[in-house]
Amino acid sequence: MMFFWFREITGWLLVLVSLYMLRIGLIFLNDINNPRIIESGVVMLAAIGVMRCGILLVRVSTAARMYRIEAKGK
Amino acid sequence: MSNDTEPTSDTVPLHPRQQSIWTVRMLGSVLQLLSVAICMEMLVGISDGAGMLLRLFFFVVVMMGVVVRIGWLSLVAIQFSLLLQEPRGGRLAQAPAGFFWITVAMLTIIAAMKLPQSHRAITDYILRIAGIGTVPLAERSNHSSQGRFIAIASIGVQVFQLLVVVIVAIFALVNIPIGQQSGRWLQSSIATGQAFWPGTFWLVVIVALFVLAREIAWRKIDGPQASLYLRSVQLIAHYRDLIRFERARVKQMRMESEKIDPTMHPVKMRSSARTSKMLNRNKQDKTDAKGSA
Repeated sequence: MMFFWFREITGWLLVLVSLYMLRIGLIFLNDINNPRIIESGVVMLAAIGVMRCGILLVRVSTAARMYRIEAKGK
Repeated sequence: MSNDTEPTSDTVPLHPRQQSIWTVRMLGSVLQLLSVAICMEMLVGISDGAGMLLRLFFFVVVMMGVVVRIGWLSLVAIQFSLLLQEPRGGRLAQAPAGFFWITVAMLTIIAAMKLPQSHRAITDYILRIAGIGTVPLAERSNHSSQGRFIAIASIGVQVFQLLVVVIVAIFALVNIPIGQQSGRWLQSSIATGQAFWPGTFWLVVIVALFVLAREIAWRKIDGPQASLYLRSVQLIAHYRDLIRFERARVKQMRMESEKIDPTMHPVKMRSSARTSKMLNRNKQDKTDAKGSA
């Protein structure tokens, strides 16, 4: 059971990291005098990938925990 | 499609008739791929001022997109060519002609995507014309009148969807940012020194809240749904391996059946391989039964 929690916490940490990366990408884009569009695109793509991984980890660990609880109940 | 063109001569000696079929198939595949790539290159207009290396790169990307059946590769090629056209204004700027170009280019992309399925039919047709012989198209089950009607209807629906998408895309490209708002947006951006409202921090907070709300809603699932989700994740994770195993199995069956009759059509080959296996098993059972009696 501890393993599932560990995975879930790791997933949420990844989501936080992706949000931070997203902010960096937006800062690149937001500067109207020196917009770094290519750099922003690269960071945004990486952020989306990290976010997907994080959400997958969270969902898989949650689903496994729920299924295990229900199986034990039966 | 790539499996059709792979030679199997490493382990099994090729029959002369089989060799000629394989050669015609290979030539047909290369010609089809080349024609699709040339059509797309002409439509997208990369040849206007691009060098030979760029054109070759475009060809390779388009062919990979068709052979590997990855649609996004073709879309990347289109984006790449649009990027190259941008300094010169491109062909998409003129309104009616742009609509025509977009529609024809998208239809060509769809044709390229459908090529792996239509490839076998075209190759069979070429083989029939060449007189080498294969299973006639009329014998296929999906060539009944009902199947033909469904196929025509689905093509019509696809074309209609495509037209709607093209019209919406043109409308969006022409009107965004919408009307009078565009000037105001530009002035406020210059005044604040930021490209978008309400700033990076609040946009990230909005995304975080959206993710949180989605995850809270997702946690309402029950046990069977959780089980289904886990199984689907496992299937997606091992999808490539499963496809590889299945392809290896089909290839092995095809090689075994080619030993029996090298001129046989692949569809029949699979069934004949299964039939021959069953017959062999029956024979084995009978001899075992006789032996035990």
